[in-house]
Amino acid sequence: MVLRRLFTMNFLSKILDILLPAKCLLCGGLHDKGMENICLTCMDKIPFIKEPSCAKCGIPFEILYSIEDNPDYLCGRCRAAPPLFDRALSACRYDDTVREIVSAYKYQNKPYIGKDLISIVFRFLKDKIAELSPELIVPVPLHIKRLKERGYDQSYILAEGVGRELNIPVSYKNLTRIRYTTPQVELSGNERLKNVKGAFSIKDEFEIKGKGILLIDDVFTTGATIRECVKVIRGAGADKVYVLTVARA
Amino acid sequence: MKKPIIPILLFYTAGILFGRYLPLYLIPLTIFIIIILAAYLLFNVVSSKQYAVCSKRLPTAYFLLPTFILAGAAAINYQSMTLPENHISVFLSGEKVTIEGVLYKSPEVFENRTRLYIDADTIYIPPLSKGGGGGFLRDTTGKVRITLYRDTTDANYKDRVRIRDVKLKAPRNFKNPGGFDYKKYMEDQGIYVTAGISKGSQIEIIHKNETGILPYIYKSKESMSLFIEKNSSQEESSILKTMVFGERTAISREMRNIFTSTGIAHLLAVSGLNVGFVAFASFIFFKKFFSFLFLNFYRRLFLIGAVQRFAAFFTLFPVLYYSLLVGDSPSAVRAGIMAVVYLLSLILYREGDIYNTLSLAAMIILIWHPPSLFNIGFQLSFIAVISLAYGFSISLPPLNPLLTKEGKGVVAPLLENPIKSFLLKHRWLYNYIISSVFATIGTLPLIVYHFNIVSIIGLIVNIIAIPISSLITPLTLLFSILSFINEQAASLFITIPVLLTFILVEIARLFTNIPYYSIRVQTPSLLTVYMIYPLLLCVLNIKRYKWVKIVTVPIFLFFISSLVLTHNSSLITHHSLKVTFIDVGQGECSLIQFPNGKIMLIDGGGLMGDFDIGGNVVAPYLWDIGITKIDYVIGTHPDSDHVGGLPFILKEMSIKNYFDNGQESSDLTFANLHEIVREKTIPYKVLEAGDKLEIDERVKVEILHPSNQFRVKSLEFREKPRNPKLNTQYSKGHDNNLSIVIKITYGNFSILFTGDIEKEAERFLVGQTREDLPLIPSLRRRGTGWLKSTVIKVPHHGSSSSSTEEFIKTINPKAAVFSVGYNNPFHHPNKKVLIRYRDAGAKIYRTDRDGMIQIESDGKGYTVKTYEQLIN
Repeated sequence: MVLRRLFTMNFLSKILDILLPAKCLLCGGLHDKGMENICLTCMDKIPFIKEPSCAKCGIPFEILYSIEDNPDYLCGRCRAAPPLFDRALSACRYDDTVREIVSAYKYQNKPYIGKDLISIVFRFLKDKIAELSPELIVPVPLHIKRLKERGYDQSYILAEGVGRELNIPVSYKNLTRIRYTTPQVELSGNERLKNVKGAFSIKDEFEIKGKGILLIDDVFTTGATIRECVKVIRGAGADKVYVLTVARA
Repeated sequence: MKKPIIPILLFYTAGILFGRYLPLYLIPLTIFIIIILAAYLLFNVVSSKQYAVCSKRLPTAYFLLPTFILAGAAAINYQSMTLPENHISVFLSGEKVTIEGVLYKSPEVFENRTRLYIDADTIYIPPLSKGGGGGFLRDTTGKVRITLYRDTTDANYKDRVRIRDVKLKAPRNFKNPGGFDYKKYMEDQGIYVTAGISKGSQIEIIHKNETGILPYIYKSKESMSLFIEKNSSQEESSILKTMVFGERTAISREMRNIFTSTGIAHLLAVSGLNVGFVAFASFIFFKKFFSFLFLNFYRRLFLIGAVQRFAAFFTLFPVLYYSLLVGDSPSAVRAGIMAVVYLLSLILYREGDIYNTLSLAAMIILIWHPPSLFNIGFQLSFIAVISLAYGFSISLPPLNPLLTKEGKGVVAPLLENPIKSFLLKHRWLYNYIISSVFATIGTLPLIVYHFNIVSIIGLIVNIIAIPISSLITPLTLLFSILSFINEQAASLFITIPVLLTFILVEIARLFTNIPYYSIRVQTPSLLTVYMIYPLLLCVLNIKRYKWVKIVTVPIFLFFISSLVLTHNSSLITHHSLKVTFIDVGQGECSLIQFPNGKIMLIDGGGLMGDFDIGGNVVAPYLWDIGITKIDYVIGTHPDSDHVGGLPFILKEMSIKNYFDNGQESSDLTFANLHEIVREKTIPYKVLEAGDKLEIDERVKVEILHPSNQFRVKSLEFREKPRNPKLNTQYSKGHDNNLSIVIKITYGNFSILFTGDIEKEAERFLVGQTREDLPLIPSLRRRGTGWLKSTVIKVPHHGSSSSSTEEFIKTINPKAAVFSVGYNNPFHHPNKKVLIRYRDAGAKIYRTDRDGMIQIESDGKGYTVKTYEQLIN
């Protein structure tokens, strides 16, 4: 009986493999069953961020020195100008490999890559996020116009994945983008700051007040968007604001 | 394996080819050898470390692939090997029988006939003599195609019918080398038996079946086409019905010609394109719908991107409905399968591979119906998609500027910068043009091979016509479905697609005014067709790999040499005179190739119902042997079985001269002929006795008949009452006796073409050889030798009204050629006439028995080859 059930299950998936062979998104090769759309070989190419890193913004330190005795070591930037958030976590660096995955995810109408990104996030960060024990997850929202164009919200998909795994509620109506902005990719550092200024607002402050909030986005580059969002969330009276991104520059 | 179905398909296809073209006993042997080899290889791989790498790459299952050859070979031969003993093809006795069975397909309705496809299960054979016992009822199996002429019937799909008084017969080929194998084609459809009936009352519907999904769908199709008919003019409704519902029978010949010669005939064939249009349109619709719904009511579902999945899922229904509606063309099935797999990939979040999906579609079609591999529509459809997909893969600039992969572009670097940036901005335009270009290039060799036509303006017309038809198909379907709900509104809306159709036709018509919008070419050799694909591949890839450069040169040389070697090779007659009697069924058509290469065609076969012998038999044969230009076309007399095929020849080939006997005829085709001659400004002359054609200085071509004297005399014949039996077919204001008689002499060899002359003309001609009768002044008297010929084309298909003993004696032929149809209703040739010729010592050749007859002479002796000898 067991054999038979195994057979039927396997059989269906085998047929599916023949109809629509599972291909690795990056190398195009057939992938071993591991992740959803990215094969294990390509997964190994992803530059995961390992310790040591800044205890605040999560930027990895270039030079390897022992900080075991001081886990709260901060980077120069965070010491000079402390960021608005309490802690930022990123799974990996934003190199060419990751850039390819993320842009396929965002621009090529492939919402299912979200699953891969979630597993990238959870590969090393699961415990760390759990440790922070946020009470509400807020994804960085898209403007309604952009959302209609894209057909899905890449941050929300990530947020929902994280929320489901860690059993944390996700709020998707609260933080909204009220102004249409040009894509940050096309702008330089200072312009980005200006671009997103006043672009976000909170609808329901009550939901956020006094809670530990986990803000989720796909990529942390200059931090302009994140900064603006954090500002708004802090303004609504959040107790703690953590930031989680898949990749960071 | 990235594309697991491709190797399976290749092996299976190889098996089908194998099974068809190799004698059956060779197949097990070959399979056996392949299996042994595979086993040996497998053993090697397993046992030695040398192959370790190889074995890791190829799963063991791959060594099972050769069995697919066996599967293919078995599949293609399965039907013919398992014909049951009581199959209906055993009951072909020539007697009228009654059959009973179920319609397994919707009837095809043509202008003046209807085709019914019946799966017969009972046959009643009446007693041989009236009143006597001995009639019997038998169980039988097998499909029968019944053609109902000039009448209609209510019988429909799945209905049980009884058909009385039908004469069953087997499909027959025109036996000309390289001709279309109609018999095989029909057998591939499972049809071994056909019949024709003339009264709708012969069909009795025993049981109407109205349950089941397919009859329901067909019924909906019927009422939709009725709705279209009601709301548009005849021309547009016929096009719409053909384009949208696949009723390919509705369209007129003239309209089809316009579409074919402008290269957009594929729109009429419910191609996969239509299924694609329907899928695309409904996907867009559902996407908009669910976007609206989710954005406003279920925001979360929108955020996770469920709109696309929902839209894809709901698009499956219109796609399946439409695929079932238009049904059985391989192209539509292919597109249906591909659309479903693509939608599944959207639903299941698995990216498909177009080649893999394409192979799956091919595999399903070939398992369902293996002979589809030889179907032109199947080949064209798949080659179009393959070349389109390949074109994309080598010319598509990366969709996202961030995803730059090097060395992928072939076409893109060719474009100048401003154009390039324009096209990059308007990507859809770029994609569209690329796909049209590649689909055109990819299908061109096959189209040339099968249809001998190159549409010069095809690409341009396609680029304009496809967007228009992409609107027509889904809109027509939508509004037709709407007509079930609200007919008034629907009839208002339907004017949009009707108007679009009108525009489409007018554009196509406009392009046919351009001179040389399409050209007819001779058939390329199969080798050339096969060579052109690797050559194209090499040329497109010449920059990508080094080895390609090395490979291209020999392929190119090979291609050129095969082109040169096959070009007109059969036209070289080596200083001999070649006379070919083409098998045109009941009718006549003789091709004469002179020693200096000049070509003459005497008559062009007939018109059998809608079937144009000129376009389907004569012209293909001429193209096959490399003739696109004819120096002399002669119509002996305006009977449809002699000149019925000529309009196509005159229209589609380059003709230097056209001659006939100057008679006017109420027959439509003949009036048409003179019109074409005027339009194309072909030099025209009325031939008369005494004329000589200067074609080849070594060959004498004389016109012996009709002379003015005879014309005067024939008025006397007219006044006599003629045999009423003969009048039925032929006496439409003209006279068989005025047929042109031509004698061609080459050295010792001579041949006499007699048209349809009868006793009177024969007597007159024989009379000319006698001294006591007045001679035609322009002809010098030469005694009996004047008519004497080595070979005679027997007058009037061997009818009893011709070939008098005196005439035969005067001619004294060594061989007599009868051009007659098998089992023709006129009972030609007459038995007595056959005996007369045999007694006169002439060897008898008949096109109904021998097929094509080819006589070749070097000026001394001559040889005769029949179809059987020609194909071996």
